[in-house]
Amino acid sequence: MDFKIGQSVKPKKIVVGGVVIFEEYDAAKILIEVIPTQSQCEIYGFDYRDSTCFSNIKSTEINDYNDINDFIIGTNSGYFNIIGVNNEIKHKCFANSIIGNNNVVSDYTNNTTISGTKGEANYNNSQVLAGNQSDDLETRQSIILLAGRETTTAAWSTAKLNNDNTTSFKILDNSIITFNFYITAVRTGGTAAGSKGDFKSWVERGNVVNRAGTSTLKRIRQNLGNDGTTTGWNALSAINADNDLAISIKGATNMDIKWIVKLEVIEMRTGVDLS
Amino acid sequence: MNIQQLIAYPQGTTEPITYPSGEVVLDLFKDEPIPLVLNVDDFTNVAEVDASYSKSFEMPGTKNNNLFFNHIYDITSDSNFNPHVKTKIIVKEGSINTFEGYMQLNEIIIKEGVITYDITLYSETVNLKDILSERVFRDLDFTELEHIYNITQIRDSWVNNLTYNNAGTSGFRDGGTIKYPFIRWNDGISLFSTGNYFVSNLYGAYNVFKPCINALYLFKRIMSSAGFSFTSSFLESDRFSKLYVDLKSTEERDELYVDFGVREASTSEVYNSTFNTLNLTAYNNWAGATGAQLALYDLSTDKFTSNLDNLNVFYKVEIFFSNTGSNPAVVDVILEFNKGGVITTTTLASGINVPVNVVGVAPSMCYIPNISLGLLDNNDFVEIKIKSVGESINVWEVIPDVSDAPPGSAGKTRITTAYTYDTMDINMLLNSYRGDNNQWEFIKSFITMFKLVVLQDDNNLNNLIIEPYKTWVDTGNLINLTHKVDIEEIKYIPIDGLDKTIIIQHKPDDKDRIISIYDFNNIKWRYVNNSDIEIFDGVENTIEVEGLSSSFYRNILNAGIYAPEVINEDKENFDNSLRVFYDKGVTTISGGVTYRIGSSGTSYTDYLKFTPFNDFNESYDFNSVQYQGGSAAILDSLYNVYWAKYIDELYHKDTRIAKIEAYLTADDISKIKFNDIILIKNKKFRIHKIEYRAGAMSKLELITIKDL
Repeated sequence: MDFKIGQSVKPKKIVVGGVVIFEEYDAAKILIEVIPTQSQCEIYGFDYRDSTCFSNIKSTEINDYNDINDFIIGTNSGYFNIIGVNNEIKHKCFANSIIGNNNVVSDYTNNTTISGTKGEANYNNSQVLAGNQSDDLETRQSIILLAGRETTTAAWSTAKLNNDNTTSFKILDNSIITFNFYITAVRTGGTAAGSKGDFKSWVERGNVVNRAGTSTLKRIRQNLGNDGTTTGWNALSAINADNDLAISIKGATNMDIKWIVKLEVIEMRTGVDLS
Repeated sequence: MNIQQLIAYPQGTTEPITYPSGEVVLDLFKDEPIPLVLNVDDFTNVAEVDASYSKSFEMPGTKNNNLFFNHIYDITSDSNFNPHVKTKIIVKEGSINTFEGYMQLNEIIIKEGVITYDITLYSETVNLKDILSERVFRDLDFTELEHIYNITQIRDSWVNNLTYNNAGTSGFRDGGTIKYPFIRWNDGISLFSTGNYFVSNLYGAYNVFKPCINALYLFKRIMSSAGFSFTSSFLESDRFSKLYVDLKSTEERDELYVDFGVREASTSEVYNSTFNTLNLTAYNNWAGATGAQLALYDLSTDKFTSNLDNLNVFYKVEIFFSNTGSNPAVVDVILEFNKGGVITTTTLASGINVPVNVVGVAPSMCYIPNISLGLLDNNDFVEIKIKSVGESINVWEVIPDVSDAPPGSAGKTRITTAYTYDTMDINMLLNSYRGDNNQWEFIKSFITMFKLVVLQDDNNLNNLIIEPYKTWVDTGNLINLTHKVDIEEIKYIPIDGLDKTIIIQHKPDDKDRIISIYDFNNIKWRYVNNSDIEIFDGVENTIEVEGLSSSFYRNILNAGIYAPEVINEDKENFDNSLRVFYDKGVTTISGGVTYRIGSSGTSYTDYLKFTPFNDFNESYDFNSVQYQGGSAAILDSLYNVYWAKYIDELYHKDTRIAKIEAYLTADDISKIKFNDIILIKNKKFRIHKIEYRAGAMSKLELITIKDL
């Protein structure tokens, strides 16, 4: 860079931190580094702060998920947002968000959020907090999900994840989970005694260990209260034959009841045969 | 005083002029010297580079002139003087050429029977612009750049060792004219977290390794094709000679990857003691065949004939012999290759013993899994021939027991052909939109980037001197004109026509993701000079390098490969505007990452790095930018290196235009260079413009600069 007219100093280079180093000719006509005055700094268009001349140049780093992350995208996946490295969104996944590293969104999984390290999202609309800095993939993680159901009879049925009538939370082999189910049922219609708006809530807590394919459930339930006619309404955690953690619910005859269940699960996959 | 002469050459006279060339001294009005305006760079016009010319002037319709113009004034005549073709001229005074260039006939005036010709003279630098403005890249013959595209060639290009298909013809080509740097052109690459390697899909390499051409080579080719050479220490320096521009097309290489075919045998054909062509009768596609099927194997002649040049052909030969006679046979198999009419024979197998068939005994065979035939040109052909001595034989179409087949063989007599067209030909190099790039726009882009001045070489009219303004200006001689000027009247005029704000930028490539999403041009790359002047002509003036765009340079996929990225919002190829990069050489990837071309094969740890900055810590963006991988911003941007001094002088309050008259002779004009410093009464001036009038007072526009 050249001297500006009337100036005896000129910028030489910009160094780490954006500090601009200046130079001038000494008596021997050799350029030497000098500290500029405020006016000398500013006449070249730089900022003078704390007796130092700074360039106002920003780096070209951008918050660009596609490139500050290393990841593989399966076919037909899209609408994702990732901040972190080594994350993987697999086949046919949509609208997933990852903050962290080494996380995986499994095939056909949509609308998830993973934060942390080495987490795995397996369920639609789930939130995963992964804490595996030095562990294998998804060793330790917590998962938040919602489930739902509508009942009109007094028969036991199962609230399915996302009220999709299909999906339950699976207890993987040689893993252990501790869960909290927050369950609320509210009446919206029906001819039986009572009124719309009658409700009842529970917290169902417990844990399940899967020993090489055989799961054992321990549980307790706390009734959080009710209002109106809720006789016969009930909720219960259970393990079915496929090692699915079922949320069994029971309403009453001729009562239209909507059920919502929030599942909070902490999961640890041991990688060891627990049988 | 010597008389001013205007010497014109017949249209079509070629350079260099050899005497005599039929030149004609045209008649001038005796009291009217040619009003020459000598100029190189319009200091006050930021956006334009100027050149010398004459104001329009009239010439009499003398017999001599009318003959030269071939009576073009007579609209009933079929004059052979074409006003749309340039007419070369020299303005001469005595033995001194004061102006060289060409003449343009503006109009013919016939008033009361008196004919006059209105003409303008232009310098050759104007000529260059006129010529190139009509030309595009496709007009250049790039045949000498055709080459085979493969991994070996890609890597050889990195070290200036690319092998071309054809002999060089321009004299400018070398092994580094075309290079294949690592550039992210699309989303066809991924970084596998479990393998720590890149995989490039599709035809692999073409996702990242696309051809870039040396800018200096292209510069020379363009100038040469326009009839010019140039001398430039700057263009020949590493700062420019290591620049490359992309020749990318959106077409993918895999579209040219063609055909697998299998031809099966006739079992009835008899082979005896003379060589006969192996007769195949049926055509079956191989199950894994891809691309267009080209029926290059003619089942009627049993010849494989290329239908274009540079077809890369591979053969797999499987022949199972059947001897139904009573004597053992000895069989030879040859391959005949007809290349350009010259037949060469290669023995594939000789002396194969073929006993009489025995049930349950494997037949004799000729099995060669991979024969590379090399490159076949159009109409070259190959054929397989068989000779059997001792007994005539047949071949099996399918051997009786496939378990007798050799490993890898299907137990059928057949020839499998695989051929690829892997030549990077002129269609790939200049196809579609890249071939449409305008040649003048290309040259002008570099003139703007580096604020180059383009001058005629006094010693060679068709040689141009091209250097950056900053290294050219004020580097001439000190010329004392004190005794020649009319010092009674010197008019000093402040620079007018200035704009409050000047923006200097490359052409923003709006489809580029880094522009459309991140607005990099506005926030990173362009330089905005906000002056403090309060009286100005324009609020804002944007000077744009219209033929070149900046490119985002980044750590690709955070894998330690620092390279340009040119993708659209969908992370795909697009018809990007021309990009310019600096060749930083072969670089080893940091962090242990390797990459593969395709899902298997060699893992590479190095790549050719192209960058927006050079080895001298200077960038090719106008603004100072901190590039990814760098510890700090690069101060020496295009603006700071090539433009800042000029803008500083132009906008300085003490800068003036000095208008003065001086009596200049032809000798003065021939000696004054526009980078000389003019000394008048111990005050220094820079030359801005000279309106030269032979034999009269010339008008000088000089520039006063503080600290000159």
